[in-house]
Amino acid sequence: MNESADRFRELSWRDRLTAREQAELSQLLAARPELAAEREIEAALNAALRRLPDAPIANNFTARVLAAVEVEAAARGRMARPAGAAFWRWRWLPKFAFVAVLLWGGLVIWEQAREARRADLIESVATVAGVSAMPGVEMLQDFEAIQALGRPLRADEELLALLQ
Amino acid sequence: MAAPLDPDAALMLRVQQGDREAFAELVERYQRPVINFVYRLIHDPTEAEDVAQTVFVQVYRFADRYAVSAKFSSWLFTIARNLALNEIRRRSRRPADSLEAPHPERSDEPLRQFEDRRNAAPAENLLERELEQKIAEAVDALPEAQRSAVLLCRREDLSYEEIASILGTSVSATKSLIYRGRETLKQRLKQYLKTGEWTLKP
Repeated sequence: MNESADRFRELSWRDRLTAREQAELSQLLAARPELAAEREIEAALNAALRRLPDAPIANNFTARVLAAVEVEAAARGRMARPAGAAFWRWRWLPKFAFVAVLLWGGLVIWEQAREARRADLIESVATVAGVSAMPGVEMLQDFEAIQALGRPLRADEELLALLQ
Repeated sequence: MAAPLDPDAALMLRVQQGDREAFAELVERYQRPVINFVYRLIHDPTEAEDVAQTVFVQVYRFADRYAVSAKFSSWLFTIARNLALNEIRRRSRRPADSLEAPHPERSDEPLRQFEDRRNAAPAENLLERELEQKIAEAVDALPEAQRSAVLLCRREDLSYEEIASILGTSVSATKSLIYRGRETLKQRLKQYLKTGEWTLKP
């Protein structure tokens, strides 16, 4: 029931029907005569919509469209050429940028290494400068004896233990 | 045997090859329905013509994207509706140019000149014009989606599936839009529809 009502509406809404659709609509109306009044209103609305005033159209509309297409095509041509030329003109730029970054990086690393070496040197100079005077050569003659003074005397303690 | 190619699709195939004559034929064939459709959406004859011009320029520009299997009118009205909606959005942000704006090259002429068809109509058509105005007002007062659906439904070359595709909705939603739009129109034009003013004329 609902399906036939839906189909009836779908057909009634259309402004012009094919012969087959017209026959289908007549069949539906014959089966459901209560839809005749609705059909009349829908047909009246279709007729009303057919009388909607047209928008004014300039006589040279087609010519204007064709001219706009020409202008647009020319503009696109102009846009495409400089873009291509610019690409070839500036294609070296990425390589140049890459090399520049590499060089800059290398320079930074070299500069940091140089700074580190300088800092080490400064530290060494400062250490040396802190020593007031070097000992004399005579003192170095007894160097081993002086150095031995600071050693622990464990070996002697072991020997004493054995003797006991 | 292959099905015969739709005449519009055949023309579009030629347009894809850069055939300007085929394109001009399509413009001639569809300028009135497209301008009328856009006009009903944006309510400004000048802007409607400009938008319609852009629609056809887009058709030419993106002809390669047209699939011959699709119906040309469906593709065309999709572009027309999208551009009209863009124009509505643009106009909501910026005030429209005046129809009286001077021509950029010839300052003594207006930008466009339209034929004044009202002057040509005889005086006895006054009542008829008033009735036409009523129906135009009723249609213009519909929400955009309902208006588009009702107007596209009048085109016998568009199926409900194709109208749904243009509106970007389902078929059932499209039928619902048409139903609600037509019900509103019937309510608003009740007195005129009952008099049979329009049904008596072809």
